[in-house]
Amino acid sequence: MRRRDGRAPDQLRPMKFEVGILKNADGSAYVEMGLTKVIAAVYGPKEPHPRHILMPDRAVLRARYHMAPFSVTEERKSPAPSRREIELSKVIKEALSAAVLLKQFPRTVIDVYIEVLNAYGSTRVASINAASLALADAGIPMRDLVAAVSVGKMGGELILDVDDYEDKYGEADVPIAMMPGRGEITLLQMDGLLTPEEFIRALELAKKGIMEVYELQRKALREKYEAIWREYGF
Amino acid sequence: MVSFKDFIIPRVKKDYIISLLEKGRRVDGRGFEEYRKMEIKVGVIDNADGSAQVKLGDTFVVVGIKSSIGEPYPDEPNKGVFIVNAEFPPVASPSFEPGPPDENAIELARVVDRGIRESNFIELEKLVIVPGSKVRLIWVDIYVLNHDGNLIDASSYAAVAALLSTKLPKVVVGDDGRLEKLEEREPLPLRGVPIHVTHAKINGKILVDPTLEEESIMEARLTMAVTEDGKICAVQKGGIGSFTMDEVKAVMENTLKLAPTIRERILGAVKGGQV
Amino acid sequence: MTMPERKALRIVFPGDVVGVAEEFIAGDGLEERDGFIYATRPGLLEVNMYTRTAYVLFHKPVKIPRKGDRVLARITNVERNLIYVKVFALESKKGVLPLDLSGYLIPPPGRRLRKEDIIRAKVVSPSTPLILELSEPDLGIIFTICPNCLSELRLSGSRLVCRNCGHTERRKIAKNNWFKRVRRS
Repeated sequence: MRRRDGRAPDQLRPMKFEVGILKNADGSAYVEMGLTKVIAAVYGPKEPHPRHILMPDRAVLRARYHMAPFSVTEERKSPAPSRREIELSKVIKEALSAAVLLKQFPRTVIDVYIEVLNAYGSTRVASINAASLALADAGIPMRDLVAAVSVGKMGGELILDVDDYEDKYGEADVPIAMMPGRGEITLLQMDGLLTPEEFIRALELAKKGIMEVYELQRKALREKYEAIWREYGF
Repeated sequence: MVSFKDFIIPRVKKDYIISLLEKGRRVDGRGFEEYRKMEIKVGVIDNADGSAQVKLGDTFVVVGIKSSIGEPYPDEPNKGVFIVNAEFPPVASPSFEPGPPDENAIELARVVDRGIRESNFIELEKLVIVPGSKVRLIWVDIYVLNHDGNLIDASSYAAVAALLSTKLPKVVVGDDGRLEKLEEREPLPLRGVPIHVTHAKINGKILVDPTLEEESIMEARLTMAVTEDGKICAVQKGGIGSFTMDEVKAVMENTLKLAPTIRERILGAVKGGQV
Repeated sequence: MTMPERKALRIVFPGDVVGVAEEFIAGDGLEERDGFIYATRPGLLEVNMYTRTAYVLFHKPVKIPRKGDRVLARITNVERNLIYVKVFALESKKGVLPLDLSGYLIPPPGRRLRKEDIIRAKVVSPSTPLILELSEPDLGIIFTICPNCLSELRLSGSRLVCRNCGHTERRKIAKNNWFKRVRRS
């Protein structure tokens, strides 16, 4: 089966990962997964405002997933956060918190801000891929990078990296994030219908995609850090 | 919380900036009448009807245009509607908080709006589909991704470039009176290109295109927008300081001098982006 | 031939296994788990050959100060045994880095401090709220205003003077400070 955009079922869209693109942020990254374009910035660790959210033994990680008004295929989206954006902010925060060594910075916050600039399917996994790079770029200690993809089902077949069309007309959508080096899943959601056997195959297909994304994330970091350390004469 | 001015720019830095200005120099090596390096790119947002990004030094702004069909304003039944909105998402600066636009974002949107509106850049009369009831709505959303000063100019150039690159779906009125959106697209009806230029006043010196550092210690700011035929179409003074008549004249003259070059840059980028 | 003390190995990323626990002690940017040492941030892996400690060099300072760092702070409140400060910058070799953290200052014996004094202090305890002290010569007040008329104070020899109301005082002034000097005529 060939997909609408000509991809094989287990093929990712063309991807672009860039690290350190925003000057003001402590860490930042830009990710393209096909036409889905996402920017992430990290500020912190810093003192929380308001203070009452702080934890005595570790840092609190906050995430905000937000879509630009012009990012959607439909008519302009209101910039006020929707219920969907609030839920995604929560699951993204949890997916990233699993990897961050929060105990190293007690009584501080780490803010992760994500802006979807162009939404064409799989924006939450693109957001996690960008945010994980931004955290690394900010020097926040992590057990591993977090890499994510979505698996869908279309015409009875499982497909990797769901785009907007496949999301709208497909039979299922499973976004998954992992710490690939450790094999731990940190985000898992699903909507649609899958048999138990299909669900297991979806996880396996996701793992394959995640390993490819992980390599691209590491390549983006390598490009940036090799250039930096070359300047220092290494 | 300590104010932005107090903690981002320690006092030493302020003294340093001022001592350089006294010698006729700026921290980044520019002359007083010199603009920062600018990079303009159109067509960056696939889902928008038009879009552009502008990098002015480290200031980074994206503008997306979305159109829809709606009702005209009651007092202008035979004109399309355009709305400028600015967001300061928290990615752009440690001092930006999530939430609805604050007074700075609203001022930014309104100053950009005024320059574009008063120059009659968009021919709003040509955006009418059914007179009195159905017109095009043009949303101009300014999105600041990194704040390093002079957001007004960067945003207005991005807005103008985005509008110049906009292609709207053609709309026809069917026999039954219902509207139909066609696949075919047409450019926005535009004429002339308004250009905003902002100057800041620091310690009595006037300098164009201030960085965030310079803005944080400036006494006042003066933005002028000029039309293609050299008329002034919008002015905004900001900050708690003041300007003399002579200073206003100097700002006006430098604005008129810089505008044609900036206009060429924008038109060149739009043309280059559409080949 | 002597062996260099520090040896740069390679660029690593979070999650990379960089060695086993028998080889080195896990320093900054590394974590030991189940006998293996993992990188926790991207950067240059170095080993100190004498102490057998490995660590990951990061190209920019992380914005939480460490013990012994010099920070700039504003005094926000003075109570009998406790001085509250707001730390707004970290001084490093690469310049002044903006910060926004609360902390306490250990009151220096016999030295008066006032609300709104701007100080350079040493970090004694780096987890927030920070604990700071002023014991060394480079530490102390770097800028302050007149307690009577709130004008800028200037430095005249070792005294602070107010050109507006004539107030003078002696304070613990930091070596490298922001005061303007009074020119003797």
